Amino acid sequence: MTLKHSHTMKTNIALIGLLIIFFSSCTSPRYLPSSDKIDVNEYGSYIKIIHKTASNIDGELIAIDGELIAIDSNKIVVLTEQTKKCLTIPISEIKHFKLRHAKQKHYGWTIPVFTLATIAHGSFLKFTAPANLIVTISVTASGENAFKYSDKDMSYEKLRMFARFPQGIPSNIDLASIK
Amino acid sequence: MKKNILYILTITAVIFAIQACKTYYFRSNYKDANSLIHETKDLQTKPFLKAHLKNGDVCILKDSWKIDTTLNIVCGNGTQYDFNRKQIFQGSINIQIDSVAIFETNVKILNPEAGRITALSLMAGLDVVVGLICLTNPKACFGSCPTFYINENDNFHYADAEGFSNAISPSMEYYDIDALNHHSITNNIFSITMKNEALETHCVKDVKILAYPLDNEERVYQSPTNDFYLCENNYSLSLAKADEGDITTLLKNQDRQERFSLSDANNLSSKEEIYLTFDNVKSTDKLGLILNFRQTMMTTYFIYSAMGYMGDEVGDIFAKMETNKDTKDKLKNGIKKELGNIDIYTWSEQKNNWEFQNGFYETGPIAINRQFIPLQNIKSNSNIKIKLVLNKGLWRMDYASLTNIKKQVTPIEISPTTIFNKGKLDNTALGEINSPDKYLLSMPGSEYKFHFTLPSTNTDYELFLYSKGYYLEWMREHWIKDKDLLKLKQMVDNPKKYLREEAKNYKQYEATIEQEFWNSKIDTKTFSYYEN
Repeated sequence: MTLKHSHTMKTNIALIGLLIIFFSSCTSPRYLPSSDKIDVNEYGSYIKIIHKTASNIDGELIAIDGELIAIDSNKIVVLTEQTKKCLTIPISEIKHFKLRHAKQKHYGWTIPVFTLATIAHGSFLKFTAPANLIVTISVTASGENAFKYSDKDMSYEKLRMFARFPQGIPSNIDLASIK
Repeated sequence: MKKNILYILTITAVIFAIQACKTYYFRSNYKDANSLIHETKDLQTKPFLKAHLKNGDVCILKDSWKIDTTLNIVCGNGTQYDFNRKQIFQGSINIQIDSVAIFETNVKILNPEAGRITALSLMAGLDVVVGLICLTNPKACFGSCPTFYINENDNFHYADAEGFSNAISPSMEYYDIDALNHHSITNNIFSITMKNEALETHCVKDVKILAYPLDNEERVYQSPTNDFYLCENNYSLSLAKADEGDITTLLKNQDRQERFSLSDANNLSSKEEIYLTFDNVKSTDKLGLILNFRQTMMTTYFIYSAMGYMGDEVGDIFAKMETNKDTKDKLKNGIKKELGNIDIYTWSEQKNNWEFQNGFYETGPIAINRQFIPLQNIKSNSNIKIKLVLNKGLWRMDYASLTNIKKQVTPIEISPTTIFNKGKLDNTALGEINSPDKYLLSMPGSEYKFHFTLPSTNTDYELFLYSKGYYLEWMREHWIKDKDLLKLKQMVDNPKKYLREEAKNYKQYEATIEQEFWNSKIDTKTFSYYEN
């Protein structure tokens, strides 16, 4: 075992570990329904908006995330995760958005479990371990990306359907009273 | 095979990637009741209906909802939430259409996880199947013997030699000589790489090169008794026939297109015959037969079966073998004698019968042996007929030809001058190999490259590999379940009966064992014992 091989193997293990942590650490907001209750969910979908110009002290573009409350042709109203208050963002200032309309299923556990199971395959594991890694990582990635839309595959007009108030903010409701 | 696997995996990954990007168009909004009625009337299953009221409330009606155009209401069972989505009512609801800002329908997404669960189930199923194969057939999951490669990047399909395959315990240690073919050496260094690709401990006492310089068209061949003959001329096979018909194309060239047969379903020691004809042999003086051959997996099956039969007493039995010569000889020779050699007969026109010449035997299914038998009493006749009698299902043969012996010779013995352990100079290993009472221990995943300094540069050499040592098979827990001392006794004391009774079991194994064995070899580039 050369130092180079050892280093490569350790890097691979660390990468797999990071992937597992990454995929397992994504938690969903409580108002998102499970996939079988999408049709009867009373809340809006979760949206993450990347601001076009505003940036934080590190120079990174500001991200605003929370429940999509309403949208019209000029602005989006989001009940933010951090402040639990509604924030109005002009559409012209949005760089990207990502929308999730149901809780994703986490399959990250399958990566170590399936791969470790190949130990029982003796020397066949040189074929079965990579196969298991590819399938479980693909399934995990696919699971994490399910129920997600972005500005690449959805227009602002369609985005309206995923708001708590697809009709727009009712005239009798004060934004500050929305929770 | 490897390419196919990668292809399938890539396709699978792409399918998943595409699926991950799939957009579900399941939600629709209707600004008035008319469009809702018209656009949902053809649906087989009525979707859930969300009525977003102008005051911010939402009513979610189950699939029993209907629109009463006379009373201008939507009614059904469901739940009403206020603008903060606090539940304010549940039950039968009548909603004035005038109070509705927008209707929303959602088509139920059926089994959104089905694709992923199917993929994981298939993978789990495959894992279970492979696991069961290894559990029920653990011996087939592991290869055996030290393997030697002139090109270190070759895989085990192209191993140039395998060392001391029969030496499964210290007392069974022996030396093995394998032909490496002739090589033109431009500088005077020749290298060969020894790998441990099995779950075994290899105890290597000696590795040497036997070299003989060649003139034009000369070759040196090794006999089964390890005598070396300088030869010239080569007479190609004209015709080869076996039970299945003409096999000339399989034996005419050294192309790794091998002729092999399957074992007899009723008796593993059944014999078969192959007939070779050589026309136009210009000189019948001092003829010899060259045969390139190796074994099928049959003997590997017997070695591993024997260890399985020993079960948890494997240590005791091996200890007995070490101290009792009779036990060792019985275990070593019982089945081997019954299976026999590749016996060679030549046709005598004068006597009108087949005359026995000698036999080839070399244990091991990995490297192809290139051996030679001097033929006796060949009369001046340009047409030579040879008969091979061999055990069915035991041998794979690649090549047969005739040659003329010039003289018997003794090659030069050359010890290694340097040894590299996975690329690093290893003087300890060199000391162990060159010391007569020390062993180089090679563990699974190990890879040692030996450099030998030949006497002359720019010379053609016929090279042979001399390796001496023994190996210890790693006992696996699941083998212990196969313990059957009576079967072991039968194998040792009555091999004839054992080979009859075991025939059906082996037949089940035979169809898949070859592929399993080749798949089971450890990749020394990615596996290291020392890392585990």
